Amino acid sequence: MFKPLPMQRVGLFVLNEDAPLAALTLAEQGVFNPETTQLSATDLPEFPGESYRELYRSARSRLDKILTHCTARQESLRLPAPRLVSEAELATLDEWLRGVWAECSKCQEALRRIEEERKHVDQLLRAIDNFAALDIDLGLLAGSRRFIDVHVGAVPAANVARLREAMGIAGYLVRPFLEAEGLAHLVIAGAGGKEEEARAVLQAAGWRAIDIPPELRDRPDKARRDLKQRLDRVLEESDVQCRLFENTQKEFMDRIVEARQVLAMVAPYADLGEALRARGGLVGIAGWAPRSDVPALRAALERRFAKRFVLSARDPRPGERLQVPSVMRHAWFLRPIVQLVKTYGVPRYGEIDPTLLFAVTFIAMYGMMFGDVGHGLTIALLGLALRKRLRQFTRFVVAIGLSSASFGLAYGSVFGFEEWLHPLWMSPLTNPTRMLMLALYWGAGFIVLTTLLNIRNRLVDGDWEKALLDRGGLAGLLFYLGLLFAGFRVAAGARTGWLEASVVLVPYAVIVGHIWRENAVPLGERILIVVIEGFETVVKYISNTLSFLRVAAFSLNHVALAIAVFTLAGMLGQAGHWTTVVLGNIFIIGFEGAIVAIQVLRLEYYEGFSRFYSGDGREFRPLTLALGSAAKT
Amino acid sequence: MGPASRYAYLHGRVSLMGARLLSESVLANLSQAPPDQEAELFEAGGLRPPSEEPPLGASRSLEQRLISNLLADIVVLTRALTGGARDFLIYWAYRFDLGNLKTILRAKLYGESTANVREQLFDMGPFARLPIDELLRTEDVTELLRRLEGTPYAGIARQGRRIYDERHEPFALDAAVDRQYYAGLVKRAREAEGGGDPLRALVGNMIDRVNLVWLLRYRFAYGLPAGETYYLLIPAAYRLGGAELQRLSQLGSFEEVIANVPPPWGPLLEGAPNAAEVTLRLERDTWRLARDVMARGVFTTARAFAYLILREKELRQIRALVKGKRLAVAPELVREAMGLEAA
Repeated sequence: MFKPLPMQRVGLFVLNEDAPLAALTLAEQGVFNPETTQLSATDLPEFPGESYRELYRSARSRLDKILTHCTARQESLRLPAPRLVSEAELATLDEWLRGVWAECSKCQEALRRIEEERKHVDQLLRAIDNFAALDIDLGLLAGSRRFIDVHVGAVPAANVARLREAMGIAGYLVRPFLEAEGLAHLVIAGAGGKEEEARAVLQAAGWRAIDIPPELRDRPDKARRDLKQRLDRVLEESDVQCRLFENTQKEFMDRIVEARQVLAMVAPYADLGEALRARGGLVGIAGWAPRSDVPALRAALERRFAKRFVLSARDPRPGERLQVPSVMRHAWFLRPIVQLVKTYGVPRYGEIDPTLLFAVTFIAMYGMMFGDVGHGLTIALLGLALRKRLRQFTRFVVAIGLSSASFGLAYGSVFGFEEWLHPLWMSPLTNPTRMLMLALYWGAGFIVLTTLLNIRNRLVDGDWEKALLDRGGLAGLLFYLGLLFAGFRVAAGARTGWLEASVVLVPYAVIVGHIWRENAVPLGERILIVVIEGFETVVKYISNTLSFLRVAAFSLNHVALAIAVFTLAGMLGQAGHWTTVVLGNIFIIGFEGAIVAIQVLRLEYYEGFSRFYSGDGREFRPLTLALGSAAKT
Repeated sequence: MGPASRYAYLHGRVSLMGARLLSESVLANLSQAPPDQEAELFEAGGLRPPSEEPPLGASRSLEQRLISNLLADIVVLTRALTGGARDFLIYWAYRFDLGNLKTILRAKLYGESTANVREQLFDMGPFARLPIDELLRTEDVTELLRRLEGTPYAGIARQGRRIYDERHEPFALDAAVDRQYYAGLVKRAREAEGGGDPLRALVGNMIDRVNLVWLLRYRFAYGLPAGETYYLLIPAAYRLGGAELQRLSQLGSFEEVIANVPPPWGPLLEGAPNAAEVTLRLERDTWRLARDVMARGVFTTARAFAYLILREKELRQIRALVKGKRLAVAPELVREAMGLEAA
């Protein structure tokens, strides 16, 4: 719970033909993280299964595309019993998926064209009046003429100016008569003889010709009717195409479900990637597994291969620590917190996992800063009410709500009313100095704890120098404790002397000496660095401690905000009073509640994690049997 | 960072980076340097010496590293910029992203394998906007353009699709992509430049150069008619305005165009035998202008852009040098490939 699980480097050797089944077995166990750089290229120079992997990638990509556009339901989709999928079967599946996707793609393309046609006809209908307004014989526009070349059509509006100039070179005139939905409708006319050149320019401009109804001039009503019929036909065609698309999906659905299941069986072997190397008939697979799971892994392999495999497992070597993935297994109530910890980073292997510390301190600080029985219970109830949306974060929201309610009991506050409940401890505003002092103690304790964790982490890293001499190490801790001691002596009005000076200055000298030693740069620059970093060490410890005053400040602010609401409410009549109280409380829960959450998160990340948590570990990504998209190893 | 500190940061950065650029004479010496002196000179260009490079053709690692160097410079420069100026420099970096797009488009047209195409693509780092994996997973150009409509390149996709529907030609698609890109660059340059800004002069010089070279290629190498040639040029009016380009497009031969190019390029291009030579002479003119802006320019966006032009030139020259040395090409030919003036 306090650090990632102990891991072992696992090497598995099997016969070439057993490799896919071995991958499947590893995936079934779900505890093996393939490692791409572990096996020697000289001992095992070959990468087997490249064509199989390529087929898988191709099939997977086609299936994903089909599923993206698949609206049909896929009920009761379960993983079948694991089985091997041959390369021939995979090739057949890939080919079938290619065909299905071609059908889907064709349907989509047809729908897109129909949509364009719909827009086109729609615009034509609007253009009829403009055609009528053109002061030319429309008979000329319909059909070809011997000495004049006329085009009627549309181009993207942005292309019109350029098109006019380019057509001008070929001796053509361009006249726009309608602009809608980014398209400009044009009549283009020129003397015959340069038709080819004109056509080339029009094609380059993305020209789309419009057929002029011959009867437009004499019987515009009929033209309009025809166009409406054309639009109806387009819409009907669209419906047909949509149905065809749905039918295509339904027709293939059973096989698509089966394809998902087949690809789930293929994925483990394909996902091994470069973790799989071979020489002749022998295949080696390397990776990491939690030490406690290795016996189960061995037993599973024995059940499947009897004695046809070799499994070796050893603890990570000192130089491998950064390569080892970190497995964090937590109780159900801590799982939402893991997400928040991972936002900062994954713990390095062997490093303290801050999840529990984060959970306890976050929930406690939230309650301290936002202590109110009514507000806390409201947050908890809201968390429960929104559980479908919040999912695993429901527990977290309920926890901070209950923490807030508990501190509300201590402060004696219910929806800001301080007189409804007798405080178990005291209302923050009755003794602000005491609140601020407690916040300082809390902050000092937090900083001491995180510095201790940092010392422990650096020792695990084997970095004794940083653990002992650095400002975040033992020297830093002693300096900070010395500062606290001297500070309290001064505050208490005691006589200070060599003892107070030495508990501060001795560790400080060690820190400064360490900064000097680790910066082997020219003298001037070295002095500058030592002065600046030495000064920063002092400022940082003091400012970080003072930063925790916000814990008290927000608890005071919470009461002050409630007082402000009641003052406003007090100026109004009965109805106005309660409306203001209700709205004020909603504001406090929504606005202040969110600000407090952000402030606590800031304290955790900045004052806590940044002191001891590198967060640059590798996430554990085991081979698994799943129906989802391709995993990335 | 306030405006004054941003200005000071950018000015200082560009000056420092500019001071690291290799001069023509250093590059010329580099082309003739014996192997034992190469290491230092390559280091000066921020690169490993050719002997430490992977074998030629094994991958695009050299090109990738050159582009990564340039993109890293753009990241540093854009850090201090805001608004239009920042957009402009970032858009400049997208050229390589569009290079990737064109590679994928060509691969789809010619049915190349995904693995082959992937090897040819550049890693755009923080400037990557193309969903490369998704595009590579498409089955054909139509699907690719459809997928592209959901990206920041939707405008290019729509234009490309209309053109592809009409003409299934790689050239038409490439031309549409390039034209759209440069039109976007001109638009962003206008938003970034102030009155009498040297940025306008730099961008104008570059756009005029591209238009002139395209005009020569489309008209006389691809044999396109005058109207189509003119349409495919970048719609922007700098020194070579619309009327000028229309006039040049209608001329009947390469020599006629060269003879009629207005100043200042007329004398510069006199006697140029082909489009490659025209490109080189015009590029040298752009580099000269960029050096001028670097030396006396005070407006930081223009100086930053001038630096990027010169840095790209330097990286291209180093690439030519590395390839030349690996293939044991004669020093004169290497110098020529590097675009250095004759000794």
